[in-house]
Amino acid sequence: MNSYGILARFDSPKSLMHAAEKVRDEGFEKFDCHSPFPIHGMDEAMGLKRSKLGYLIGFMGMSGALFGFGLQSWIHSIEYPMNISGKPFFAYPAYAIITFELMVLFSAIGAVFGMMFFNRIPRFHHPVFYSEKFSDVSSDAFYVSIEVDDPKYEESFVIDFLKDIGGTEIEVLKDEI
Amino acid sequence: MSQIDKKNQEFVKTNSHEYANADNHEFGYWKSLKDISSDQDYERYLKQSEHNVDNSISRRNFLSLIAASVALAGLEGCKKPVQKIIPYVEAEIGTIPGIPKYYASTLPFKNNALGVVIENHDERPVKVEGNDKHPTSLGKSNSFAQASTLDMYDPDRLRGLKFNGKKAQWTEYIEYAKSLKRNDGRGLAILSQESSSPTINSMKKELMKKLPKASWVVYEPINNENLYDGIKKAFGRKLQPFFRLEHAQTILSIGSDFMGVDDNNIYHTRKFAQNRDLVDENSTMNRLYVAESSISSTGSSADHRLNVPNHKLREILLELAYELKVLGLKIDAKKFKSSNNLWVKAAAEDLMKHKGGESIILGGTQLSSDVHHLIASINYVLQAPIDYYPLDRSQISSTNQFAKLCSRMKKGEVEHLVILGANPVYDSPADFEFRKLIKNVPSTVHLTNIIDETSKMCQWNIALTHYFECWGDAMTYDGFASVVQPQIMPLFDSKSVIQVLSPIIYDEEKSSYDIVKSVWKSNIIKESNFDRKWEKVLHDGIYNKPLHQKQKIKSSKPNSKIIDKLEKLEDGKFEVVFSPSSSVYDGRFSNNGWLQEIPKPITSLTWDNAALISMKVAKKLNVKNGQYIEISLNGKTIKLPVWITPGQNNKTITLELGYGRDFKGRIGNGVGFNVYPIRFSDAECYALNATVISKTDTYPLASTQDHYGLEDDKYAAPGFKDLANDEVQSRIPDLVKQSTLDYYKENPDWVQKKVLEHKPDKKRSWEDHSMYNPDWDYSKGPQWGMSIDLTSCTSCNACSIACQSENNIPVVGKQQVMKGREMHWIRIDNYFAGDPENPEISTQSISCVHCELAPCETVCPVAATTHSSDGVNQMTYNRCLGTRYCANNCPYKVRKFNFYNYTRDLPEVVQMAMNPDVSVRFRGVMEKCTYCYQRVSAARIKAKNENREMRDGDVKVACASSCPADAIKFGDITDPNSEVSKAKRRNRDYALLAHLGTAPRTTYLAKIRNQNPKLISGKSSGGYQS
Amino acid sequence: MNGQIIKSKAEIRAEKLLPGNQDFTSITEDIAGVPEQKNTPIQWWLLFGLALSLLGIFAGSVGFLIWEGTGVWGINNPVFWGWAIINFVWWVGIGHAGTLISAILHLFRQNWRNAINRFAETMTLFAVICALVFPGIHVGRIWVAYWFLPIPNQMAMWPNMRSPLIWDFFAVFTYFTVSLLFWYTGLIPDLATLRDRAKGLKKKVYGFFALGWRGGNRQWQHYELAYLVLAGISTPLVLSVHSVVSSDFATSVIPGWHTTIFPPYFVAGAIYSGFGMVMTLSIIARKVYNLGHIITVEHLDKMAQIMLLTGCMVGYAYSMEFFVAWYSGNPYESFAFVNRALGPYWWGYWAMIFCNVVVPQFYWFEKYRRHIPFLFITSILVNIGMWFERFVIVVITLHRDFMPGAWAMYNPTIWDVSIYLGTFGLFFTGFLLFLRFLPMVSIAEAKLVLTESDPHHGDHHE
Repeated sequence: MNSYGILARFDSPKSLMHAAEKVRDEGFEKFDCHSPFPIHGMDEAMGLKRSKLGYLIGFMGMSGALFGFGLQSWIHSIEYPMNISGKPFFAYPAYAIITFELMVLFSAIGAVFGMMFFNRIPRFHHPVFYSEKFSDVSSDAFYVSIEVDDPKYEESFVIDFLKDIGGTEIEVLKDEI
Repeated sequence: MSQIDKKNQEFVKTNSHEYANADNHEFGYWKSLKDISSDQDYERYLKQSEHNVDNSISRRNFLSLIAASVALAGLEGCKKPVQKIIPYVEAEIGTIPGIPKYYASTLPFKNNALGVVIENHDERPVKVEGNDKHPTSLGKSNSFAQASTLDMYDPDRLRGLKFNGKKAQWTEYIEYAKSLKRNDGRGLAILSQESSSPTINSMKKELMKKLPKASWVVYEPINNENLYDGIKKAFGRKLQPFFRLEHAQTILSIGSDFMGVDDNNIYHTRKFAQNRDLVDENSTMNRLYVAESSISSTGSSADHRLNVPNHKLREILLELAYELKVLGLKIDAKKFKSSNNLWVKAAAEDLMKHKGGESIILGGTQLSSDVHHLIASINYVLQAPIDYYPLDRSQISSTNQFAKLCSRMKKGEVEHLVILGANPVYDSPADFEFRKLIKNVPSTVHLTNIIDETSKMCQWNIALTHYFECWGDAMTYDGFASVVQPQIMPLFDSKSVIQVLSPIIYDEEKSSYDIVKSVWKSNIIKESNFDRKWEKVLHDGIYNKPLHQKQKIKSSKPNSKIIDKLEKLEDGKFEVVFSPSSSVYDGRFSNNGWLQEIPKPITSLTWDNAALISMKVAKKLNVKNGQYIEISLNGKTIKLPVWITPGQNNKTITLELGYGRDFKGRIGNGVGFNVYPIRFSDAECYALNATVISKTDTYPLASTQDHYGLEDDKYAAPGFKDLANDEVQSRIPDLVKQSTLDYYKENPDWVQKKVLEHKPDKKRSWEDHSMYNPDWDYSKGPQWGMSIDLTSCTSCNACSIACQSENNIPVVGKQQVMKGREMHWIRIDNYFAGDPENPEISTQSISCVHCELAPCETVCPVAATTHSSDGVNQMTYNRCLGTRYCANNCPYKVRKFNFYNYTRDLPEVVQMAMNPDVSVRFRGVMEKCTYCYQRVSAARIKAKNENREMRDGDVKVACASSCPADAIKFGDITDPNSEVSKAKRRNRDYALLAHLGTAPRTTYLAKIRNQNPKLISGKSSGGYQS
Repeated sequence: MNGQIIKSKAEIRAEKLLPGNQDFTSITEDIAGVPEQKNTPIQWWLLFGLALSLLGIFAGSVGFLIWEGTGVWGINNPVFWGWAIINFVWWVGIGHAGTLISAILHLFRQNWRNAINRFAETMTLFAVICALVFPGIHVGRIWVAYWFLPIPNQMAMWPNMRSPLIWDFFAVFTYFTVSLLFWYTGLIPDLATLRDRAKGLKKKVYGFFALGWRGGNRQWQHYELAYLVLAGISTPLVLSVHSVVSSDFATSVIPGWHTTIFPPYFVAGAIYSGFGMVMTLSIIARKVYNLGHIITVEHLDKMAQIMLLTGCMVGYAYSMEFFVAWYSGNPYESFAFVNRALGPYWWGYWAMIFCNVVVPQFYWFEKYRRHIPFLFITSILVNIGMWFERFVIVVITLHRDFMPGAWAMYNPTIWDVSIYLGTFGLFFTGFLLFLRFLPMVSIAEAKLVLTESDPHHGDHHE
């Protein structure tokens, strides 16, 4: 029967944010703040770095556009040039739309799947799910979770610390055996 | 391998040089039958093969087997393509697969002969072209000739013999035929159609010699009897007039549709058009006056058309005769001064101006013999360019003879009646009641191509051969004998007139080949080395020495007294005209889908006939298009829908003959309305004092074009009923550019002024306009292009059907036509300008114009329509997925879509009429004119093989080669000397909708009317310039 | 000081958008309660039965169409495009509101959208599906419709990338995919909510689609960015889709189609009809599930205002078309438009004018904007009007273009009608299933409207 971390419940976004600041200042790294909806300023409160997702999306969009324009030019200029309405093979104005559409398509795919990648989802099993109460977090509960493999993790100390910063219903995450 | 086959091969070996010859110019460009028929053994073989006892594999027998299997296929619907029954490797020696052969033959039509060349694909005749060696076809053809291919492969044709409806043997008939030769042929009567065949004529003589008591009667519902009688009155004997229109500068037609359905129309159109072929503003042009009651093809190309009822035509003529007083006509014609006097005066002056061989009057068949008498006399005095030839060799319809026959039948004096091809039960005058009389005849024989009204009442039904299938001959008016040669063994075990007569005359069945040849030997080719000449005839299809000499004629001065009585029309009553149908003629083409579906000139009606009435009459009777009326005449009544027609006379109701058939033809049965029941022997062409009642019920008529202004745009917003009509009127000058000769002379460049913006073929102006320089230049030849001369086009439909035949265009049926889904690649638009009582008609034949910057191509999502390097806008059928976007974006709306799989239920037999060089389109595929690209490729390959550049004239597209007016020119526009380039250099040349910058390859030559300044009132085509 | 005002403003807004004493729990209960309810409302069953039968008609008609060929429709020469294309454009247009609301209003931080965006997005999805049906079935040879795709093949046959139809295909396909992703992304936290409240199989299914969402801020961080970017790229996409659709007509040479005004005019029309449809559906939904306190009159009012705006824009476009046609001095062009208003199909044109231009003028007045039955009827009228707009553009333009010799009338057949009605079956079947099994309002976002959701709520801003 091994433990994975500790949960502490807070009553409002406000208190959660203050808690987050304190946990950050205490020097914890492997912790998270769970809430039913995104809370403004939480990133700073937790001291998170800016998401890298943007770069991925930018890259995807770029390659989509290049692919779109390249494909069309290649088809009509190199692969199989045909005289259509006496227009030039490399009719770049006509290629604009598909270029744009593919750029959008690629970046959308990049955004969604990149988000999943950075969030490490789908992941159907996670220690926080061992808690009965935790399920409220998707409705009206606010939780701070500190994981066991955080360097400063020491069970009794963490429990006390969370109590101090106003956490209630402190719970050690354990798997049943 | 059989005897015959060996012989064949030996022969081919020994005559291989003949094959070589066949291509040199002594014998023209097509291979000929001569190379086989000259062989003595082959003649014996021919005899046998007519009994098809011989099963060896050679061209003719190969086809006999096809025929048999097709017959089965038709009956049992066998799915295997018949062409595969014999491996092709065993086909006739010397055949190159895929290379068509061309054989000269003759289409006998009534007492005329139309020289044709028949294109055979893998021994299967599929296309008819004019024979340019032939004096009446001059290398051109008409819609009937073009459609004859489909008649050949009509699955409804009678198969073999029937006796009282049961299958009978040919030998049984021979026995019966011999039995007819009793007591000098008393009680034997033969009823035939008109024919000019020397062979049949000599057989007739022989029959009458052997059986003096027998009677031979010729009857045609549509005949020239009055014309011949008139000539007899004028010159003392019946003669065949031949109108040499090439010399005529002033032509006056008194109700004659000489370029439409009247006989010899190809020659007339060709020669008429010759004198309208304006190279530039200085060239001369003939002038055509037409007086008629209902717009005909001829009337539509008239420079001045007078709208008069038929019974007034004789008064017009008398008035004219009076105005021609210089001719010294003793005539008191004060009483004839009519409202039309101005018109008649003008015509008379023109006629006089060109007196002495350059002015001519043509009278319609409906005119009475004494009117024709007067016309003949006037023509005589005018020294009109008419040659008269003897009539003795051809058999002419005689209503009197027919009446006599009928009375004898009534008395029961006729025991045996042999009907050769005619269909009297359907088309003989109503008062003869032939349907009743034929019951009095104990034994009857009907030689017919299909079980029709007459066959049903005859004991013997014998399948009649199509002219593709039999030996025979015919003769032109001016006495050129031409030969009918079989292209294929009879598909349905049918017999020709000659074969049916021979046992009656010779006691045994002689091969028709022998009979024809012997007749030619004895009567026609009176020269040494007959065989050599005969070969040449078989090759050319015609004997180059005429059998007739022009007849010297004497005539007294014309005298108006010869027309005594003037016809009067009781007021409130109507004149009814029975006109031959431009589609089915007198009903003989009823089962031909191509002809049934072709839009009729002027009315654009398909699939039906209707009572043509004028707008005024429609208002008076309070009827709309398609509403029924009842027409009563001498106690008989018919009921049919009306069609409101511009230029129709207010006293005249025009009825087309040949519809409302009741016969075993899946296509034509029950189509349209039979008008023969009110057609009597005393008024075969027009009848007076018909009473008309309008009915409330309506009938759906399928027209391919809405004619605005005749009926108001009934769906338009209240108060704007003539919105569409006004718009059409304002567009006509832009679409069909037209003017008078005088205006043209003053402003030679008026057309160019109008289309300054874009001149695609002269200067590629679009290159300056285009955003970027195209990767294609069309400067290297050949670059295909077309020019259509609107001045000479008579909207005769020959091009449209030629196209249908060449390109396997499906027949879609009335329902689809009503939905606007007809498939013709060439559509003929009719526009009417000015007074609907007597409008100016502008016709324009439109197919794909092959734009160099084609709007259709760029919008196709799958690049199914693209441009070839020789500038042709091409459809790739098997790439097309049918978004129909191209058709939407076509400004000319010339693309046709296969909304259904129109060829799905096509009988095997009809499939034989398909051109193997052109794919049959599946449903969901777009199609359109390809400039007959299959012919272009064939010509290119030929040129390559002979390693030379392509010459002008190598490619003859179907429409151009059929056009009797020669209005269509096709060729390489980069070659400055090609016909088409010359045409396009003319200053009348313009591109349709040029302002769109589509740079079409097909351009038009503006329509010029040679109008008499004296007759141009306020309203005139001159007014179209602004 | 200011803080006070701002706060009170925020509170007022929240009051309007979420009346009654709502809190996180009650919102969850209200919204999640709908898909969780044990016994489905009878109205739902009625509507669903109707939708299914229409879907049956749809399947039957399309089957017959494929068997017989496009000849079963009323299309002919010259009107080669009929109801199929009209319906395509109509449905695509309707499909615009969803992404527009989600994307643009999200970028502008219009919180009021949170009550209706899910709804609109879903509508978009099914509308676009209905639209995509038509290009598929209207082609002559359906079995080769895949030639639209640039699939490498041994014959080196490629689509013609210059063809507006290909642009169209790419645009609509992209639009559908992006809308789907956008919709699903928005759905993930709510699926987690449903997962956490469900038991047994339901839990597993919701859980599967929730992808193990934990609501941790480390997830919210990437999630929000992704969502923001999606909104960002969807905005130009939405505007592009109908512009591209309009190029099907605008790039042609046919008078009445060949006009540069089409792209903006089509987009305005699309948004117009889209909002009309959202209005219709949300009025039904809030009635059936009495969510009056979540989809409030305030929302309807705001939608009505947007409809008023876009309605006036199309009205302007109609008048400009006429002006340009006259001003161009091109007789063919002028007639095309005169014929629309006065020709044989004049009634179609005036139906369009009435529904699209006259009707929305009532929205100038607040009392009409907040009169729900009136909104319901007018929103339906607007979509009828927009259908007629496409009828005018497709049929009336084609039936009389350059060559009077080829002019003809167009009459739809029973199959045109049945397939059109059938797509409603397709649409509502999907939509009703969504209402039954998924939260029709974004739970997470609805909570953001609450002042409590602001972490600085109650602070004093010095």
